[in-house]
Amino acid sequence: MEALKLERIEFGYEPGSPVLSNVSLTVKESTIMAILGPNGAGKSTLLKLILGVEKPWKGGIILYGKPLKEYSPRDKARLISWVPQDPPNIPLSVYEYVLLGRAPHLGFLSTPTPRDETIVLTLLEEMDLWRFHDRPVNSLSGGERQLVMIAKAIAQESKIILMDEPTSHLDIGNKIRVLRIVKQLVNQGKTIIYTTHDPNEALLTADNTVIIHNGRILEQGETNRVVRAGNLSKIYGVKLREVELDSYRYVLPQL
Amino acid sequence: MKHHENTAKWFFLLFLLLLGSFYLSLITGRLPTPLLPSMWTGTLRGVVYDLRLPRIILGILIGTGLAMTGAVYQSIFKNPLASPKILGTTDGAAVGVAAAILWIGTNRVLIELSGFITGLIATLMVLWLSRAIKYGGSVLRLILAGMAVSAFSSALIGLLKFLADPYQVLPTITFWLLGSLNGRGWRDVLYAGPVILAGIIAFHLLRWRVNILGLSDEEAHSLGVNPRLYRGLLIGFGSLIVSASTSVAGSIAWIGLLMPHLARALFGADNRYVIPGSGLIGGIILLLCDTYARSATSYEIPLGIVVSVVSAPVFVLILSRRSLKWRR
Repeated sequence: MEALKLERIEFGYEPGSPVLSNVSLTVKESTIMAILGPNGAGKSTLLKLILGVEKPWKGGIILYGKPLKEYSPRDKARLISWVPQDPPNIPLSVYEYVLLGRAPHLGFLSTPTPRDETIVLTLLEEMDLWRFHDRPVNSLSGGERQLVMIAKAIAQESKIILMDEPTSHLDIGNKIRVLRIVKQLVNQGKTIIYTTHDPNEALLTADNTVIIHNGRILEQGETNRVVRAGNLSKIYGVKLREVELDSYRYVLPQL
Repeated sequence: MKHHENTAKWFFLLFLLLLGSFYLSLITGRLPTPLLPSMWTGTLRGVVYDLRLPRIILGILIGTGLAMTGAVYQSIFKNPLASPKILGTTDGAAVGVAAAILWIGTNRVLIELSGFITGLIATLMVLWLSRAIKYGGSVLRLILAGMAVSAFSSALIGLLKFLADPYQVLPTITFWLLGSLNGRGWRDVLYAGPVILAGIIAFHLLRWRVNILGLSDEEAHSLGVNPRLYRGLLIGFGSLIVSASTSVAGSIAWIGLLMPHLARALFGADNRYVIPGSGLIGGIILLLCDTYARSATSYEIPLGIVVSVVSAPVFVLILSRRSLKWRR
């Protein structure tokens, strides 16, 4: 089933200078889609459009068969959650922050119920985050914050999770931890769309990849077919080569 | 869950303190008052029920309202130094008060109404100007617009004072703006009370969602919250509280800035507890300050001065604590 479909999207922040042009893509349910491209290619903007924070100039976004603009903010939030690139700089505790993920399931004036609190407590224990549930989010390390932001998105119980460069600030250990969680989430039926500038992350995790360059889609399709040293060399303007190891392909730099 | 375990205890204690302050304020004044209400007869009865009680109610409402507004503004402007003054409402209301004293005279209804209206106009101007400003994100634009409107209002207040008769009208304007509940009665409670109370109830009901407005606008969107809409709603209630308070009691600084920090020291950062906690502490502190202002000496000390004298050292003390968890 199609979870999300973008049809000939055009969008920009200043009139006359589009950041994204003629972007069309389809994301199937329970798959991982990587949006790959260099810095400033328009990847984060694309996520903001899917989130509904920005409205496209042209084209349409279809979420589970219905135009995105026909959803109420709350209904949309029950289908799509978001893991931002920059962690929040707030002194809320980890527990209080993850609890905010329950907002789309609560009424306008409601506060979290014991059921919401139980969901969050269980989740924090499952993700091994309980040990710092009482610590302010802005006192955590980069890797811990990333896991906490993912926990909030999971607490939201949405079908689709958008992640904006989820591993860009992480060391290799935390990077692998996050990518493992991404894989687990898809096995549990979630659909993940994430942006990255690392082709190997896409090769390791994504079913499908979209390569964006200068606001246009250069290639899209199955990751193994799309993420090739040749394609990427053109975008980044450097020499790259491919290596195969244990049936995984990697793109490596060539100096 | 350190904070959760102690939350109920602290709220209970604050309620007791509020009740205690209420009673203390009832029996404190220049006229000696016996401890038992049954002994309040004759003139004393009138003093307690018609002079002290309405002041006490106003003091609690204004203290609670300003402190809650401060807590809400600090969250939505993502700035721990934000106070109810930040959107120019206080200075805007002061313009109306000064203008009414100068041109309309001593009719308190008209003075208060004029202050209330100009306070709201100032806030609307800030909202309108923030759309015209092109510098910074939506939150910074509001703060910059607030600074501009505050500066303009201050200039107008200066001009009105310059025009005022220095022997009769100027002292009235100055004392009003210094902040005081002197002579405020049931009529003032009936006028400002419902407005402030409406704001307090709205803030209490929306307290958990205020946490979401402390996040980025994108993150708020992703949680089903339209940040602009909620911010507008909260600013609307905040400016009702601030306009009504300033028009009745003059400019009372510090309560809105300081009480949220005291509440955070007790309850952590979750606005579910910080907003009502600030409100309770604000009510208690303003009530105690007003009780002192009216009974410590043979003449009334302006409330704004008492509040500032108490607050400034506490503010420095709070900021010097290592556990202040707001890093910006």
